[in-house]
Amino acid sequence: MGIKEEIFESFLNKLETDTQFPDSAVEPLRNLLEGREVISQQRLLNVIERILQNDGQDQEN
Amino acid sequence: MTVKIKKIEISAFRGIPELELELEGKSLLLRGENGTGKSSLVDAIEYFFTGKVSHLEGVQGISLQRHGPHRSFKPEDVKIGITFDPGSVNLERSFACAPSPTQQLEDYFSVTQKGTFILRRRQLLTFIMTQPADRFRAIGSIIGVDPLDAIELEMMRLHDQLAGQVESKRRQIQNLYDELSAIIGERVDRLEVIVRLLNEKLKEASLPPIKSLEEASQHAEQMLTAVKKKAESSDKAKQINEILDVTKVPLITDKLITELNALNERIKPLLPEEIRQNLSLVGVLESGGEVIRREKMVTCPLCEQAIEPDELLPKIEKRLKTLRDLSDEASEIRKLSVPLVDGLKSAADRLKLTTTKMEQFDELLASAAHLKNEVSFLATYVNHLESARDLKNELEIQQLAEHKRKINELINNISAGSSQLLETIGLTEAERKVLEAVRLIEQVKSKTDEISKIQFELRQAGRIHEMAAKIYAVFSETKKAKIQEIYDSIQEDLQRFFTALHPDDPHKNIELTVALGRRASTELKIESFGRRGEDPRALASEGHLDSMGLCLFLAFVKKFNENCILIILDDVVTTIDANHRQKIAHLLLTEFGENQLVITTSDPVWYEQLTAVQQAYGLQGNFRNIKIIDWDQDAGPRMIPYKPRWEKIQDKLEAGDKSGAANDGRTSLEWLLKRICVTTNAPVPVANWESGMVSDLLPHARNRTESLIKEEAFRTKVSDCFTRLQATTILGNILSHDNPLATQVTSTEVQDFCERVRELHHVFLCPNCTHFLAYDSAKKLLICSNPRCQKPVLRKTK
Repeated sequence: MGIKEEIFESFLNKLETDTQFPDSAVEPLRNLLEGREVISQQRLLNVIERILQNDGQDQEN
Repeated sequence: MTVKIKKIEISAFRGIPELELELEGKSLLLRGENGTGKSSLVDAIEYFFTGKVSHLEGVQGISLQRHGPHRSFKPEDVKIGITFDPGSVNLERSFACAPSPTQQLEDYFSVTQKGTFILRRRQLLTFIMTQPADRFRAIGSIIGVDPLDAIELEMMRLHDQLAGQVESKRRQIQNLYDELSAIIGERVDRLEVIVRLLNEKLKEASLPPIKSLEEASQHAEQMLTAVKKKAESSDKAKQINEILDVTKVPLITDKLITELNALNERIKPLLPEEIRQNLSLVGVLESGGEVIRREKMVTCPLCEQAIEPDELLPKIEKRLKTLRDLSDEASEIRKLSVPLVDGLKSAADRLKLTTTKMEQFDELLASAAHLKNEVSFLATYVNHLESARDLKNELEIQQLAEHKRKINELINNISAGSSQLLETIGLTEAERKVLEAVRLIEQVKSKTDEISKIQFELRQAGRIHEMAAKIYAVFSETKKAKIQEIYDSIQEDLQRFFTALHPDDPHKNIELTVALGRRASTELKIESFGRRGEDPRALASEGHLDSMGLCLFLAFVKKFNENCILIILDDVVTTIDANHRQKIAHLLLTEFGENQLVITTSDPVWYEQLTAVQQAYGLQGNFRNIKIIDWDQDAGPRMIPYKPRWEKIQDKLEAGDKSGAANDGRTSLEWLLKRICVTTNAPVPVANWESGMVSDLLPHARNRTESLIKEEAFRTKVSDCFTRLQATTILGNILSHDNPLATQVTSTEVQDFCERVRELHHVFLCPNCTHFLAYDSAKKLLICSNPRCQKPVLRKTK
């Protein structure tokens, strides 16, 4: 595993174990980080908005 | 399987018209005077792997396309070919095509494509003398975290942007409460009290109360139907009241001007000439990039040189990104400017809407036209503010203050004109009361709706901001911790390398730390004269700083370039003295002897030191030692393989060059006698030392060694060598000083002289590793100077 991958993994693990961070947020972030597309502000924002939308729906259900 | 370079072929590149260099997987030691093509070879290798020549980048007026090709050739003639082993895989790079590595070369290329295997003299101090952020960038590219830096930057920018949005929404709500308070005539800071306050007003006007804000509009409509006046008059009155609403609250406040002034004070220090010049390129780069992308241009619109859009556009993007990557202060400025931009935009929008309403009344047309001009000014000023936010200019506050005064005067006139107009409509007192109540309800309803809407948006933005802040903080902290781990992991090598070069030095314990509280920065500290945490620039010599930079480079390369054994050192020891260069030679061959090294130098002493160390470690078979003896524009560098001195003398004798051979023999003897005198601490008068002549040094070297050596057999051997040598030195002198007797000297006699010099030299070499003996006065020994010698020779001294 390269440095980049190690940092990604450690970052995602920290979020996963953070009780105040929604569990459902980790996977979309993983996809974003491991994807081939450039990570821009807009892509990050889209992912966060989607996470919060799903989180809101989960809470409603 | 270790990948090695077998052959390099260069056509029409930099100072090399045509060159084929067989390395056969060996390291290369290349010596040549300045300007003889050494760096052209390094440029060619860098270009082959990375598609660029780093020192040609970012310099105005210099480009690879223009300055890459050899002066006698065209860009299309440029071709760099490298053959790799195993498998003799041949790949090529030209301006038209890049090499595509085979599967077995992929790991090797993953390192070489980053260009982190090359250290040039001018790059050395990047590790030491630059700002922490630049140092981090240089190190980051070696350890492969530069893409993470880009991600962290995007995270930080998103965080800043969202923080600005949240703040802007808070201020919008505050402003709306201020406006609501002005409408109601009492301080309001929460929506729950609105119904009560509104009903108090309705009661004062003897009008029925409302039950809730939700039914307020319906209530207002019912009251309106009770007004018997013509609907047209009611509508007019309503519109005039709406115009009057705008005039009641100042749109460009003193507070806004104060905040803009404060923002301007933060912007100004970030606008020095150098930054301004760089920033001025942003527009050119942006529009140039856009034109090249849109028009798919293959010629630069500015200099009309041929360009490769696929290569150029990513470079433009990268450069733009660097220019935009400003300090934390710039980030704060971006945040602070969001509510100010929003405030001005909102003011412009409200005034624009008001002008549309005013245009329905002939009496207000003139004022509407003036107001339109001010709306247009505000729109321009928003652009001006956004440009200042991007650090392109400072703010013209005075200009806005003047327009604020004009707008306020205009608003006062509009207020007076609208009030007069309202009088002319001629409503009864009861009707006026109802209309005023309706207007009050509508105004309050409009403001409370807006507050509710923005409060909802604020909650949404707050959640997004909270998550973005968390993601940024955790990512940043994880990255810093990991990078610090990496720095810690190279610490041992770093200290070892530096100590090997400076064993008894007051400067030690180099520390690399990720700078706290700053994104992507690296601090470099050293213990100096017993004080820890010193900035090395304050204390160490230039030579120390260079060797520290070299150690940092080597420590990182050792850890991170494991898939690639290629290391290029281009003329990196110029400021380092001969003693330390000798140590660098040892360090390179002991720690990196198995790497494929390409070492270029203009320094003959270091070249000799490196060849001697190769022999000492039995690595001469791993090297191709080459000298550049000549260079001209048409032929390029002329190279000859290195030969040991004795082989060169032999070649000259075979060619009948008695004078040349004797001259080389005498030069060798002068060097040898100096070396013996230095090694044994022989007392040599200054005048003799300065002349450096054989006759001035030989008696001192002989007397000292004969009196120093205790072992009789060795002393006799040394004395015999000196005696045989002294019998022949006259020949060396005759043949090397245009002496008429020279023609009478035979080749055999010259050979005899040279052999005697060689014989004396050998006596002072370790028979095991051929390193020169060193004198240890404490141990009273002449001992092999090679610390790695397996069987070091020891000769007792007195």
